[in-house]
Amino acid sequence: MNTVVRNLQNSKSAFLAVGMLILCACVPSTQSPKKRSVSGGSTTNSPSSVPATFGRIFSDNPVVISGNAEYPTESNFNTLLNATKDLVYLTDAQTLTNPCDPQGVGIYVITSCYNALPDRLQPPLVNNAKKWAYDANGAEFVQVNAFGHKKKMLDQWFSHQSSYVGAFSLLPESSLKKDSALTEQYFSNYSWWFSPSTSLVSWANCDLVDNAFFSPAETAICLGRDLIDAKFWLGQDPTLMYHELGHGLTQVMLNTRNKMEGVGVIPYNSSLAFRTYDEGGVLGEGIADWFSFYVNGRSHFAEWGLGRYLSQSRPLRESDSSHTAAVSESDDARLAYPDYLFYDPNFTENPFEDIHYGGQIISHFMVALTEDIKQECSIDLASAKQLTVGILHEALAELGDLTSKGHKSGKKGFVNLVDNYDWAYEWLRSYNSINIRKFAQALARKTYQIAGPGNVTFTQCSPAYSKDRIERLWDSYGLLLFKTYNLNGSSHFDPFTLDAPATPAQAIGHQGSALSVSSANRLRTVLVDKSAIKLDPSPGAPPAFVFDDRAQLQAVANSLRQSNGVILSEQLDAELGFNNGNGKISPGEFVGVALNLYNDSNSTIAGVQILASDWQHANSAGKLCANQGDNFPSSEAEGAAPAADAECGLSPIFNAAGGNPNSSLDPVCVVQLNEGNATKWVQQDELLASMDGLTSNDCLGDDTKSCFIRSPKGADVGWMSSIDGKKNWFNTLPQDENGNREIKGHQAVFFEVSPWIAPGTTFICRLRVRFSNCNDCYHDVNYSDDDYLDNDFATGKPFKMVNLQFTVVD
Amino acid sequence: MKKILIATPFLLVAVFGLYLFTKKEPIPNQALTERRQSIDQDKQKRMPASLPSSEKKQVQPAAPKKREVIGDKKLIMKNGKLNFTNKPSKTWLSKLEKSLGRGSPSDTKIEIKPERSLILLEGSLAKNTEQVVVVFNSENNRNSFRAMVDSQTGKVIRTWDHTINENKKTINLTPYPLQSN
Repeated sequence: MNTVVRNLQNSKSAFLAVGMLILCACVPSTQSPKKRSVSGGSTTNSPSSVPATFGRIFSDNPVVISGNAEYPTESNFNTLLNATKDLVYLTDAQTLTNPCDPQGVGIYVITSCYNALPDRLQPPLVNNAKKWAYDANGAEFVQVNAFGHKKKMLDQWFSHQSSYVGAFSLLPESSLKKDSALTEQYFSNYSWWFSPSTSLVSWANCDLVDNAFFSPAETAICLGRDLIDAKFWLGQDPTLMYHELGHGLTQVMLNTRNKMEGVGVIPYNSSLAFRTYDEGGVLGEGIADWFSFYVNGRSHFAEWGLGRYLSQSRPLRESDSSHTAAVSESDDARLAYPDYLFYDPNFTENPFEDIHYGGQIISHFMVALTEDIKQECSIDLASAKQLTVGILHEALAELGDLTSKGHKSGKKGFVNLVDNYDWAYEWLRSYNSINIRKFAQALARKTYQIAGPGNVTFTQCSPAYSKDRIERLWDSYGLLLFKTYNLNGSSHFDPFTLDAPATPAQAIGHQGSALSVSSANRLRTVLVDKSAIKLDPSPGAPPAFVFDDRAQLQAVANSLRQSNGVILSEQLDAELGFNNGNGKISPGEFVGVALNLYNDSNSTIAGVQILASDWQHANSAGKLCANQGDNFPSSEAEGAAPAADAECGLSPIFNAAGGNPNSSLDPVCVVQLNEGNATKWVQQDELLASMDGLTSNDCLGDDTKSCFIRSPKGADVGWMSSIDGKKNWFNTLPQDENGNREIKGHQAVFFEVSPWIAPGTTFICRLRVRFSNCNDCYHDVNYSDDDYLDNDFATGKPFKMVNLQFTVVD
Repeated sequence: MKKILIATPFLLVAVFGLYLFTKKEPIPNQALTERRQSIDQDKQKRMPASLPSSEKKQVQPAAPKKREVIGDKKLIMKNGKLNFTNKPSKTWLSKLEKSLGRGSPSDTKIEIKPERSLILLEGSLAKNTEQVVVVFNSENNRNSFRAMVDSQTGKVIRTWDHTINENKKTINLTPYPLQSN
């Protein structure tokens, strides 16, 4: 679904805007289906007209069924039902609940697998006769409709999963089976679902205006309602259920390998997204949109739920009539990354930064992959969907693997650093998170292994989907962002001892073939050196922008708390009373900082990620490593470690027990300490030691090295969607209809500033920056452009260092 | 004989009909369970979706449960004992509630649902923790996540399973140029 009623910050303006949309009936003509008669329509949908356990649900959304893009809610919705064709089996229970039997053979069944309630904490709809035909104008029908389409999608999903995994299980151990992320425990450990005791509930009468969500913590799908029109429910549109359930299944796929370890063994779950905008979010929305195509095969989505009043429905393939003339299914006219990140086909003159619009690149790419597999493997569309969702599952299961092994024969550290769930989660969240490059590479790897020449035993695609074909398709979407398929993974461990290798060259991740991409296939994808990104060199340009307005930062803190679980230090005033809005970094404030980044190349760079998380930039004596690309500090007298310091020269080794690599990962901000006539740069614990009367209890948190300035976890990663060539970040932001550019929270990293810090104290925060179409942020030139090992992402090597210096003032 | 020939088909139909009438599919346990649940649910009166739910106690007390150890504790046991960094306290929940509510708008209702008590292994040490679900509810805004919480201090160690809201409330920020030194 989309950001509904965008740019509108209060309910009054939202009311007016939606009202205007209703009056104007601004459903774009490009996507208005031709009117057609509704055959078989009835004026009622009575219980007596259906057998027990059956009911009727819409075959599609009201706009598509009626052929009327402006279908009025005053109409009798029962006429949208076909008495025969829309009659479906729903459940044998007296409430809307069903078991799941993923293999269809009665084993590993979850008895209460998914169900429906009107809304959270409300009792279920009870039907003793089990006749699920309700007046299609009422709220009960919406529950039944949403439940029925959830069932439809899950039936297809489980059938595909069963066939895919069943076919795999027949393979010999020495074959592709060893490269599969799915193992024999897939069914027996219930890794095909959230947990064996979890029921996925849908709240189709969810009391939420213009919104829907998937909650992994409550395992719930909420489908809300319209602000004004009481007869308009999002649950009337099946494609919105497909989308939200798509988020749910993405969660299942990402955590497949974690669940295969056994119930609750891995305490955390992986996710794609962590901020209001990040590329994980772009991927999540794109995949969720693709699931609509996965079910109904149509090229458009949410014509009713998002299109009827809000003009925000979305196409799923380039041939859809809602696109501009410049878009087509030819290789040079696809919806390519990053050109179409801001593209809103409904309002092409108003580009907008949002994960849903960016996600269109991914949904279109996934549809194109499905169609290409259908053609190249000479199979029908249903089989192509099954194979595509299998490949997607393999890729996501590997990317989300907190055991770090990635696949059946994988060894620790293949992905997500190490088989320690805390560190693995941190790598997934911050250090080497799933961006578009990482996803594109993993999906290519799995396509090559499952449908391509990397597979000689799995007969789902014959003849094989060629490597060149894979690379050309990826490139047509600007997604050939990797130089190798990284078949050898990113483990930094020795293959025999599974401990520290004698040299990085002997690490598993640099052994064997990574499988190079043919550079001749990279025609549309542009890779840019990281040296192109820098602080804006224009005369008078500030190095960064500061946000310290109290009301705005209160809203940010509340959003971070509720959406990301970020709890601010109790050293700060609960109401942020020290935030004075003077644009300076002052004691006691909670502030945001957006780097004023500039792209010195001629090409757009995208997926810019600014990291303020701890990293290895000091030796164990606390001396700062000056060899991380920023030549800081400039001398040993100023706080630098000796030039040949061994700890500064090597990436740290992690181990499964969590043997504390914290000792070598340090907070980003260091402080200038005056000692007599000299000054030097030190970590904050040294400043604490020099201050009389303060103890570690006065620090912002438990780590004395971030005693005075700290970027809390969850607020320590900022994202800028793209920066055009020869422009700074701000001037790349899309302008609204009034020519204004909006700065939003995700573009900043946030810092807590201790109330105990003396004004006049100067800090440098050693921030690390990378972007998704970066030539040298992922490819290690010392190893034939093989990917960096995962522990390298604890250092400055894969990043562009950007040092932010500021003085705390009142 | 003729009568018998005529009667035979009727007899066969009658026997087959009787068989169908008396044949009962075994009711699977799962279906029985669901029916019992349905009967229980019958006793509850259904309410319109638009009506707010009744006030619920915000913090549900944790039932005492045995702590689950995550990881191989044998690796770090010394003399048959684990070396803990913390000691469970009865106040962890109220401390957590306080920290989550700190700075929250007054209309935000916070629910904390304890899920399980754990022992996490950290290097050579062990830590007592609580896994909870946190739900925030306010006017037209709902969020939830899971959190791992220190059993002594109530401090949040990590959160995950955050809600994927489609219509995220974005906050526009007023920029001030940072004065470079």
